[in-house]
Amino acid sequence: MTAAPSSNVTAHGRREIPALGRFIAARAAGGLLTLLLALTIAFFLARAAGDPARQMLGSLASDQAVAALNRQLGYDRPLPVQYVSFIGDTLTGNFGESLRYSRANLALILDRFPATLQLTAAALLIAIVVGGLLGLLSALRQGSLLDRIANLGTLVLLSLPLFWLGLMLAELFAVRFQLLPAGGYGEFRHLILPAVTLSGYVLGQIARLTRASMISVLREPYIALARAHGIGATRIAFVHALRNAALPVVTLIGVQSGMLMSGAVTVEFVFAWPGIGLLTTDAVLARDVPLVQALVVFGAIMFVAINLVVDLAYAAIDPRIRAPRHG
Amino acid sequence: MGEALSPAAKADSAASTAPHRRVRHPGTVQVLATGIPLLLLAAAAVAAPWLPIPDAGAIDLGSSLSPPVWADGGGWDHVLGTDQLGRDLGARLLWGARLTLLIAFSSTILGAIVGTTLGMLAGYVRGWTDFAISRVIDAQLAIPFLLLAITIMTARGQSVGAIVAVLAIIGWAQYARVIRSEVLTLRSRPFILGLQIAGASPARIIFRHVLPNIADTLLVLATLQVGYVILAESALSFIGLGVTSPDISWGAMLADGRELMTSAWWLVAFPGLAITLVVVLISLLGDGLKARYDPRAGAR
Repeated sequence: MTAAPSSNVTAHGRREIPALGRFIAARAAGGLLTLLLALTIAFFLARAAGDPARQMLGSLASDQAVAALNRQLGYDRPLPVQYVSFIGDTLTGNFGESLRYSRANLALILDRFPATLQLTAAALLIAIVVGGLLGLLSALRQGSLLDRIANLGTLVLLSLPLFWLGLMLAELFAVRFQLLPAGGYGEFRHLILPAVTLSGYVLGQIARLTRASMISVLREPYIALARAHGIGATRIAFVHALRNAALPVVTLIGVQSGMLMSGAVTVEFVFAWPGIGLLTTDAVLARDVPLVQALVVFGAIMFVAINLVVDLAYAAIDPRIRAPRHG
Repeated sequence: MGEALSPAAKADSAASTAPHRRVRHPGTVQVLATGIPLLLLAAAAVAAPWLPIPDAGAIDLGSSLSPPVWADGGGWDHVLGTDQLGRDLGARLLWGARLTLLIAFSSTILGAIVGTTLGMLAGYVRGWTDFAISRVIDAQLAIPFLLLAITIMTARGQSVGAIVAVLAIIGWAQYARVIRSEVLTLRSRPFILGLQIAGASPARIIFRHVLPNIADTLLVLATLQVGYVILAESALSFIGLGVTSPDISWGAMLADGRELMTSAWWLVAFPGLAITLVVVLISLLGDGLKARYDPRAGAR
């Protein structure tokens, strides 16, 4: 037996594992670049365009007090110096210290993180299950009453302010019928209203995309072939079509994670859910600029990380993605 | 079920299933059915000072927190009820529409100008310019919009101008992304090559020949963007970083009404309904415009 040139060369002469490694490295590098640029944008919009110390102290504060706070926060240094130290600090995990709580921002954020993770995960789960099912059934019964109701319902879900939906649900289920608590944390029943509220927008997006994606997949020749083989409609829909129809939905979830984070801010505010969103609105009310800035940095890192994971998951599901492109 | 189809929905489904039976301009009915109410609302908002409605600022503590006309204790004086100072909610909604719509339109237009210019540049010039602009677009989209808005507003202070700028900054990347990919395809068309050979300058090609060809896409995009901006403004005002008293927008009304919601649900219900209704109409208008101008939309 002659020695194979390389054990991981496929029939096409492509090195499978190194290609995957290159893919992951390229995506990670791209994510890092995006993150650096996002931090740069956030930095310059906040520091260069604003006068944070004045905002924190109010218009009645003396100029000396403003200057002193600027010195304390290092905002009196030249912008390039501030920028370099901001990026350096962020990369080494130093997120600064909150003015209001006199604690490290990162510790404050990580304290609150589990609550937000719980809320967003529950919301995402509701959105995927209900939205996916709604989209699937609408696609299978195009033009039916269910399809039209789903179409109108998702249109409304995509058009309403989430926090308003939360207020209305709280009014209805907590005040009128007294079925569920409108605030609080710790038990499962506390999670229901905030999670349902937060799921709204993403649920609408997932339902619409699943429907469109299912309809286009059901037109593919391989579905006709499966049908010709006498495979039942239910099996075709769930086993053959759904797998491919789910691909764009996976990408959507990554993109929508930013929407979930933004939504979490107002929804946590409405339900007094003690997560990062409530920390954000508290920081805003206290004009705690260092904490607000740390929260933005954290949000951008989360977004980039989630999308990196989604990209890799996508590549794992769909081998076409990780094939190197030519030309 | 089939008989219950609205004319717009009928045109849509005809377009998606049988292109040969399509009316000449699918979506026209939908554009008119949604565009006219929106125009009427905008006109009423602009004309609010001269309309025969109660004064939105008139304080009347005697009729404080009176409910809408159909609820117990409501009256025709204040059809949608009053707030804690006895001010007419309907009139305040119309006045709130002024600022809500003004902010939405100006930031949409500002974002569209910046985003379209950068998108056309990236798509037309390609190479490093495209790389740089595309990375900035990605970076911009990587910051959750509310967090970015909060950063700017806390550092900069609140004013209507700042809100417009913030919402434009949040919106530009969306235009840039879509327009860029649109121009990338357009660029390979023979007429562009012809213009280049004829010696037309890039600026002339971009603004005189590329721009008119992407105008339809831009119109649809900007229409839908107005809806997003209204939602973003309401969220910003709700957490106290947008429009604040004595100015009123629908978001600010929601923020004010929240504390009184248990005793006066209408203070929260109606501004929210107004936002939802307007954004629904804008979405439908956008879909109608897409069906009317984009021949590919029907096939999907």
